[in-house]
Amino acid sequence: MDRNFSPPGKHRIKNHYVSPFLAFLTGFSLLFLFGWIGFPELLYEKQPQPIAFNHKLHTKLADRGCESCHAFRSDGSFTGVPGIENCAPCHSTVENGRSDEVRLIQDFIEKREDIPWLVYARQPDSVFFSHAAHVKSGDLVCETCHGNIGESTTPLIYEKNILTGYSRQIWGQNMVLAAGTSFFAEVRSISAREMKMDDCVDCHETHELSGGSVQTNKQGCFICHK
Amino acid sequence: MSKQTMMKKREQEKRRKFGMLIDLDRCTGCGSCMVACMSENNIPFRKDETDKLTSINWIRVFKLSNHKPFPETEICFLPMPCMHCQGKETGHTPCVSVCPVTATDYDSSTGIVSQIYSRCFGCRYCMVACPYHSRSFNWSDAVWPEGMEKMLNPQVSPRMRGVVEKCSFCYHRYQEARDKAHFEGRRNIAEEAYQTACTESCPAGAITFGDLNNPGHRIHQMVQPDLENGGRPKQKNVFRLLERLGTNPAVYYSSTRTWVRNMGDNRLLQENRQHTAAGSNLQDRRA
Amino acid sequence: MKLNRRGFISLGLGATAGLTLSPLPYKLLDDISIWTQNWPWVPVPRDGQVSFVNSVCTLCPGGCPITVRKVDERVISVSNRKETIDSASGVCPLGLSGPQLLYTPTRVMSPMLRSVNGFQPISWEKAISILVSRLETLREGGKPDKLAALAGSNLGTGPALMNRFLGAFGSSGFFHMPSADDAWEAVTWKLTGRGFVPGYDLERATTVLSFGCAIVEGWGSPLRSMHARSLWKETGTTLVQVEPRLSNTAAAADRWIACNPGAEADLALGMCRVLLERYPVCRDRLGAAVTNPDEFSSHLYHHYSLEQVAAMTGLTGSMIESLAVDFAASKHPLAICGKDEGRSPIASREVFATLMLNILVGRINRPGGLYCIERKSDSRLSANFLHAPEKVFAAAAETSEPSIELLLVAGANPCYSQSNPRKTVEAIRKIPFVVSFASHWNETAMNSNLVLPVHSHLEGTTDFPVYSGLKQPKLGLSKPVSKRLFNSRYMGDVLIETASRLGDAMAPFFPWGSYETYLKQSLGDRWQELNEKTVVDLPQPKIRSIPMMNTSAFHSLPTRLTGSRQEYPLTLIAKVSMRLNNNADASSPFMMKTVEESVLRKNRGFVDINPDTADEQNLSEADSVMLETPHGQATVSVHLDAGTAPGLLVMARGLGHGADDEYSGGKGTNVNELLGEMTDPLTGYNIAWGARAVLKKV
Repeated sequence: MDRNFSPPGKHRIKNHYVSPFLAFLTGFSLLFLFGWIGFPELLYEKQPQPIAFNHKLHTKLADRGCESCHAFRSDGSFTGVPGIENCAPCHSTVENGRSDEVRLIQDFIEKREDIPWLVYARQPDSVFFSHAAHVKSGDLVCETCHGNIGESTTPLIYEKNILTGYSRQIWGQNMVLAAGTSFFAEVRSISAREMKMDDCVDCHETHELSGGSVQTNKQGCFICHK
Repeated sequence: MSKQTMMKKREQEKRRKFGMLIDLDRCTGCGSCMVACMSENNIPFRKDETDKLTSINWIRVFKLSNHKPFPETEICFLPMPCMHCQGKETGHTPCVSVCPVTATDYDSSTGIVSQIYSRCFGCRYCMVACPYHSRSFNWSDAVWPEGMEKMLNPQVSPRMRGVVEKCSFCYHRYQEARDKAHFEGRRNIAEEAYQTACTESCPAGAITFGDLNNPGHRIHQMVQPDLENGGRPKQKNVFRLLERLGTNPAVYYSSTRTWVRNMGDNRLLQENRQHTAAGSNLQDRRA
Repeated sequence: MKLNRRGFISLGLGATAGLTLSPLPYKLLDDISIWTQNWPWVPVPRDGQVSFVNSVCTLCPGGCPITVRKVDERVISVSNRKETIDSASGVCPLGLSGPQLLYTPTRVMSPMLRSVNGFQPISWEKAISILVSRLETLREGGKPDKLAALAGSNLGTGPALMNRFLGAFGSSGFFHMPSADDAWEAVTWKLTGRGFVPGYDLERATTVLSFGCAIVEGWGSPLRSMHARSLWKETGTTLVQVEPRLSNTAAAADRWIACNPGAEADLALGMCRVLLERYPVCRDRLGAAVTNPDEFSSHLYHHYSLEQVAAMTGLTGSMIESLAVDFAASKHPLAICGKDEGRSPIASREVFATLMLNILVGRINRPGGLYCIERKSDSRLSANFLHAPEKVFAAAAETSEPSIELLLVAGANPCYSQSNPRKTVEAIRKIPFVVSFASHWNETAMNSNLVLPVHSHLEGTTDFPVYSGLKQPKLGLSKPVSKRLFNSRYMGDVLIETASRLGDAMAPFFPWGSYETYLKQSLGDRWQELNEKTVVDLPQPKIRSIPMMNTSAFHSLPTRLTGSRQEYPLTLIAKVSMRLNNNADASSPFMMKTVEESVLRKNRGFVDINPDTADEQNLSEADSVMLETPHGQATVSVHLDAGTAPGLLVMARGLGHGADDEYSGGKGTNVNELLGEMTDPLTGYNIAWGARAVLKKV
């Protein structure tokens, strides 16, 4: 008798094949999880900052808050991440002998070489960002975009996108995520991590900074591009 | 800052229309404007630049001639940057109208046609559309001889191959001037604070750059653009290239010589004869 | 469990759905598009602190004040210093190319010694040792006079130190590339016993009669000349340009007088005759200025009638007459001379004729006229014409008793800019040891034995006196805008060190520790001001009244061009342009980019030719021909230009450089090779303004 013959009625011979529904679910969940969890693991390469810089310690010593080291020049341009000249006056000699400090003095201060910080907020060459427009005219405080970096005791690990070379975390809303942050909070905050053009545009449109462009009705492209 | 204050501040900023006036009687054809532009805007250079069709130049100095035989020959030099056309009713700039990806855009608050290299994918439709052939294409990547990449201006993004580039009216200098203005808490920019590289470098002082809408700027007085009539210049001897096309360019030219002004537009031979019958060419020059 | 086709497809569908609902495809696409824009070979210039450094551009004798924009340590661009020039704008293409010339890989990066395998880099220690030993050998052999030194000019502390070095060593062999100002000094010295150079008050003249001066193409101090011309447009000053072709200056002039090439002095003398005939006041002025007025007038009467001048110049008698009358009728007329950029020596006849014209209209030391300025320089005037480079190199090439065994060259490139460059190269190669102080590799350095790198124009401090026809001469001080990129030194420092190594005979003459100390000392109490402003007025004694002159030495007729008219029916002249560097070194890549297709196409240079002449020769636009003169030949292409006089061929200066740098080298022809040498009978300088030529089929 044909073992695969299925007579009509209640009895059905058990099918040895995977049900399509199960296969669908399997495929779905595998790739879904890969897309959300596995892919980011593969895509991002963790790199530590060259020196474990303690912001909290330094802001206590600085008199003008963030602007003590991240300052505006007289022509309105922004210094960004400071060069070695900023650190040299205080760190001329070894104070506590920790390995990072020794490295700082030997490898950078003595050679007068800028520390190769991995800058989270680094933008592509095509972007022109005016700190003066946002901080002075826009009345924004540093924390609004960069988060409470001033409170951090150790820099967040730099996750480099291996395809583009840019940081996973561009804005620092979550710069001070402690190690034990819940997984769900991390997931929810993913969308806040990257800051692409549309994110800038969202904020601009909220503040009705638009008009000018004849095609998009946003501001002229060259306001933010060079 | 509240939304209302911000909006109020922006309304106070009148619409600017940056434009240029080039006095062809002063232009000596020296080429400083070309070199200043190259230096300012990271323009690539090749070993052989004699093929002017593929040579990238954001401003080109053309030589016009009255085509008369020796010794009645006369020549005139005409520097031609991007015209930053406004179009008939704002928005019909030829290149902007055809760009499939909005890599080029007309900004009504400054009158500048921008070109964003990261968005351009090199279809060159804009080059076809531009009646002035102001646009150049990067057929290959720029090669910077060893050491010369140090002189690249960080305010202008160097281009990779496959994108179109053109004169930008040095809008990075506008950005720089705005930066300073924001820092100092003001909105207005002085006339001297934003000048293009070609204007600054012209030894003959032939180029004037400024806000055509601002009666206080020199260019407004020298051109007197008629805003009701597509920006046509009301000042005598001032003309624009291909005026009849209706591109409403922001670059004006002036010359006391009739034959030069006649060359501003394409005409049929009969039209040209009628046009020049009114005044002989040589009368324009002092004896 | 097995997977059948349905299951497999479902698995696939599920995977696709899962993938689509995850960020992967969108993120991947986005990231890949960013990746395609991030090629590592597209440079990303780093942002930094913007600063402006003031300096003086020393790339040509114009010495224009500039300001250089820097970002951190990098030099980005050059622009004008508005507060120092009257009508505010501009920099010339060469000045604008400053950053390119600073960073180009054609810089001499370390001392280089010629060997069988080409140039090898050596240390400064070794280089100076070699120089010292060569000098000692000369001295011990009792031949200190076999040392010679060629400088670019005789102005400033650089040439002064070089001259001092030679003097202390025991040699009188210091010579420099002669200039138009040198020609003026020689002529006026001969005429009056006091040598002076012209200070033209262009800004206040009402008619400027220019004998071939390329006012808008780099004449004198380029920016100043261009500003003057723009100013004239406002003040209504008339510019009359006397030139055989429609140059940019002639096109910019109010009147273009298409005079035959080489006949400018004749036109000027013809005008003098008209003035003397018509205006008693001119005769009075002649009598007051000249000891032999009758002799001069008689010379003019016999040789410069309207018909004779018309024949020489190709103009009509009535035009010459009206030119003279209009000139004299102008409130502040001024005649200027100095063909092209007015830097190379002018024919003494031309200087004389221009001076006479200005004297006759009474504009010497008057507003809008010609001011007589005594230069402060180190070379002895009387010896000037014995030191014409042509003569020096000819003597050096003598096989029997060569006059030079060791030659130092600084700030000059005679292997390119000399007449007969090929002969000059041969002469240089014959000299047993040639030391070239150069910031960039040039033709002379390539033919030298030892090349010593000096700072480029943006890397060091040096004084820069500027005469160049200015009514008020200036003294400039160039500043170190950029840090030193390579292992370069000041030439002065090398000389000081060499002198100290040569011992007691030389060392006392060089007591300074460094060139900068010497410079500071030479500038004395002007150092402070110069350091701040980088350009100050040079207090020069202006000669209030010229001593009476005897003109008889200048009553000679023009020298003819070599070659017969039958063999060489055409005439070749040169033209200058702001787009090419005419200061002996190669043009920057930016400048090469501005060169027109009517001048250069690929590597082929063009000559301008009148369309009718081209017709006669059966030539069309861009045809190749062999251009031959009695001095050389070259393959060129022709460009039909209605502004060029019939029978005239015009070739651009500044091309034909050595083929080492592919951006500027191996393109076109060095016109000096075709023009040959024409020695001025008075000054001994080369005044070749043209050559007879013929076009042959290739």
